[in-house]
Amino acid sequence: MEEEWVHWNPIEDLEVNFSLESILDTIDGFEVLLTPLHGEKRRLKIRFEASVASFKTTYRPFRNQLILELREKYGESFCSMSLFKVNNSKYIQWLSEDSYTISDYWMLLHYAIFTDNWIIDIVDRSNPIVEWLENPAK
Amino acid sequence: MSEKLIRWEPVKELKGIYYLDSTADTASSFELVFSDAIDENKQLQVKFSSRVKGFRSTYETFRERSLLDFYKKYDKSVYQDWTFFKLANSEYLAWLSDQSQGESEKWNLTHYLFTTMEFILDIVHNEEPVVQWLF
Repeated sequence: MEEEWVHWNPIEDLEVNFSLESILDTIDGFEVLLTPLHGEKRRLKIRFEASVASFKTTYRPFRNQLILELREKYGESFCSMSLFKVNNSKYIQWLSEDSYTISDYWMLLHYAIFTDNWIIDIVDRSNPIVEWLENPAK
Repeated sequence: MSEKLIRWEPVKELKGIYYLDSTADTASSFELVFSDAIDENKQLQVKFSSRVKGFRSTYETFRERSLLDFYKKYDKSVYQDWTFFKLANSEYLAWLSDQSQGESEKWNLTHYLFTTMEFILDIVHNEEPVVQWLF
């Protein structure tokens, strides 16, 4: 089946572009912190309660092919949003093949985050908690 | 060219399979902390002074086929009782080259492969990390 990308809107006010502040993966959970590129002081936190099944972070120019394909398929403005879900994901398919289909029992979901310089792909069976942090970084 | 697994020994006294304790990817550095499977107080830090160009972390169970391929292909003296490797001519680097339409090949990237107790880590970067014991 063909991969399908859709915008992911877990919270309001997502019509902004982000830079990647940090990704922390510890015993306390897996957390991505994003900073809006323009103006706003608040930050967006995407948090999974435990380490995720798989994730990858890639320098954005190294994913040029993906961005071209998405623009071609969904229109020029599609990648101006930052959060996505991926159905029939090639990443999940790769995990299935590399795990002899064990991963199929996990009902995995693929989330993608586009920032100015980095693209983050996250695969897990749980839904993250997404929230705006109103306080500026200390 | 086929992949080639190379044992990597950046510090002395490395031995066995390590746990991954934490990953911290920030604007100023990329840092991994590992602990010894037997003595958890014995921690090892692998730190790059900038964000790495590619990083992938996966539950070990979901990489079973890749690991079995290594076990079939290499002598035990290469992979047994060891966590830290470099991977030459890797499929991951080939994927990045394909995805970047050749751009990644200008960066002189190295693929580090760390096979920890629970996670398989693939790191791609154009600089060597500083590796040190934390005890």
